[in-house]
Amino acid sequence: MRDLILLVGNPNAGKSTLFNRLTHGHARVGNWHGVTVDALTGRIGTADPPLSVVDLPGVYDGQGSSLEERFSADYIRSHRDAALLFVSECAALGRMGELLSAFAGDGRAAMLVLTKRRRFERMGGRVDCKELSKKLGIPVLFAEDPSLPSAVGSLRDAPPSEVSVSDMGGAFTPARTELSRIDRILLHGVWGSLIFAALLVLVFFLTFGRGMPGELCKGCVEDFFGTTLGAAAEGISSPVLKSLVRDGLLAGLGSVLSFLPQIALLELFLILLEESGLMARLAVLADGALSAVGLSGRAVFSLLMGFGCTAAAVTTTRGLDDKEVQRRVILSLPYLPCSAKLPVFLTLSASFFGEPFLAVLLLYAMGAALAVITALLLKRESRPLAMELAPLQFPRPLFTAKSLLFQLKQFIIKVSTVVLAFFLVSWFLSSFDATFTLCEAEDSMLADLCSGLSFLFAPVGMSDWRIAYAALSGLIAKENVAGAIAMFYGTFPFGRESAFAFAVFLLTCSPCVSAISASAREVGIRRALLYAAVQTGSALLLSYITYFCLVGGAMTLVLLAVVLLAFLLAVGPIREKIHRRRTDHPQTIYRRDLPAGVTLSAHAAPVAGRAHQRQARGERSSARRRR
Amino acid sequence: MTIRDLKREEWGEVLAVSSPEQARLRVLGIRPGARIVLLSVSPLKHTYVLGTEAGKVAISAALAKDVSICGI
Repeated sequence: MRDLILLVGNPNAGKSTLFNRLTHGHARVGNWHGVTVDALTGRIGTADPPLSVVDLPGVYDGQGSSLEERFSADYIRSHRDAALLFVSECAALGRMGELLSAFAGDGRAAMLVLTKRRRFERMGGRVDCKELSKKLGIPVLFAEDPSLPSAVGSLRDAPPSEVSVSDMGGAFTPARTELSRIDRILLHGVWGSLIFAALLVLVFFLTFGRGMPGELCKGCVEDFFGTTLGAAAEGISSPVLKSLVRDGLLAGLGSVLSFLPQIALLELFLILLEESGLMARLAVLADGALSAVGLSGRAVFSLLMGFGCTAAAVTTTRGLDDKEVQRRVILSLPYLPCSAKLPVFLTLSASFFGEPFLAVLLLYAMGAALAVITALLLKRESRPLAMELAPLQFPRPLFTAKSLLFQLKQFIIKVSTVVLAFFLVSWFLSSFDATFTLCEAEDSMLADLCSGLSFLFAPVGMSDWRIAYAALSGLIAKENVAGAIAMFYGTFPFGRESAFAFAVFLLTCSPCVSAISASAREVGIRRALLYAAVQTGSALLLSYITYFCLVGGAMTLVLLAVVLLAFLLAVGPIREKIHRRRTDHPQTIYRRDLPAGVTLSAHAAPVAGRAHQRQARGERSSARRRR
Repeated sequence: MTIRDLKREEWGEVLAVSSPEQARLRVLGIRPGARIVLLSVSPLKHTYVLGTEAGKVAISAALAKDVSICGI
């Protein structure tokens, strides 16, 4: 007697709709093995022992090309006692052969459910379930069939199936395939681009625009933590505890959770775009331009959202099926100026530009250019686009809500823990001096630390610990930089060259802790910290170069252009060499490196790659000396 | 002849795939003997939208150049 049924099918086949129908919506969202996939488990009926059903991410074949597909394939193989409920759109029945061959052939009980029948028949398609069932050797039912729940329940005791994946001719007539009117517009180079641009501007405006829902909700959360809970914290008698709660816990939690409304809006739009099928059309339109810089069409949403919030944009990269492309996008995102940097740029631009709007525009253009350059420098051979264009549909409200709650929960848990820890450490360092006595910020350990870091900004004419403190506070939240400058100086006291160099530093340095934490969730903590370190180091270098160019004039600019050109010319061959060393087997000896007359025995097995290469180099030297 | 060689007036005609099998395309329904229809091409000819027996798929030009077709 089986107690587990697995829902197996291509993405967008209707598995989740069927799952909700079978479980009456009583589902638990699971996070399996620490991998961030949306797998649902539920219970069918009230039988004892319980019969569970698992809704797995969509998969096309037995191997899987993306993280989610591979998870599904591995899960199916590891649960050999489970019955398989294959789910397929009527129109996509031709693709089921792959899945049936991969998973149903090893003696499991199986059944096939066909969905989206009405649309299929409107397009001229026909399916004869009885005939198809005879050809495949497993029961086949339409999803609307009233006997479906009892048929699924009977899988518990069903005998192993003898599946034969043969020609379905006679039982299956494919539908007409044509481009609908909406698709003609959405996939049109000009009209489609305009529509999606307008949609993305609308999303951006609703999320980050002044007075819009995202900004309003963010303000409410900040007020709640800052004003309401802050006022309550004033009632704490112990000064240390009061400082810990007000400046550590509330500041930390408020900083993270104030992002939540905007992240929720972005995630909601992302889920709606995915569910409706619009994301696939957008990816097709954008793939040409983005693949030219080594990215993927599916990254367009993440890149555009990076202008709003880097942390939120990083979370949206989860939808990319290529891990390498995801890493490149995550590395490029910090260069896109997020909305938090805008107050800082406006503060600094008054020092080096008469018109702040032009200054900010220049910085935004520089950021976008740097993001493109980063993607180009990291460009590798990436997988060409090959994706299904699922029919457009209205998003399912219940599924959308459950997906949104699941994503927000993951964000709160993972980001809060890291950011809160950082805030507590920062609070401690900025509230106590070296003798662990409560003090003002200027006398704190953090000020001592920043004094030690002030040399970093000396080359750009700002050898002041307050600037280092402002830069460090930007690590917590970029808005803090403007606040720190206002607190210490009022208006920025250094020259225009220093102001612009500092703006370049803030534009290109590591993102805030929330974004680093979101990156850690996607690529691992070590890689996220490495990215942050590299970005901060390169930001310092860029700020020095900017300052020297502004101070040194045209000659410095020419010298810099020459150095940059040499770097760009050299980086290609160097990358190629590194890539070749990484991909080749460590024990490979190139034929051209072998001395004349020396061949490797067919059974030769070098003990160690490096030892063998040293031996080969020694042989080459000996051969040259003999000649 | 490949998909990339099709002229504008040939879009919408049902064609048969004659090229050898590729794993990534096979799972999307583009396999030897399958019937496909070219529905749309992006302005810079980077992306091709095809209709297959299993629905619509989008592939890049790099894959499209490997999909040989013949008329039916």
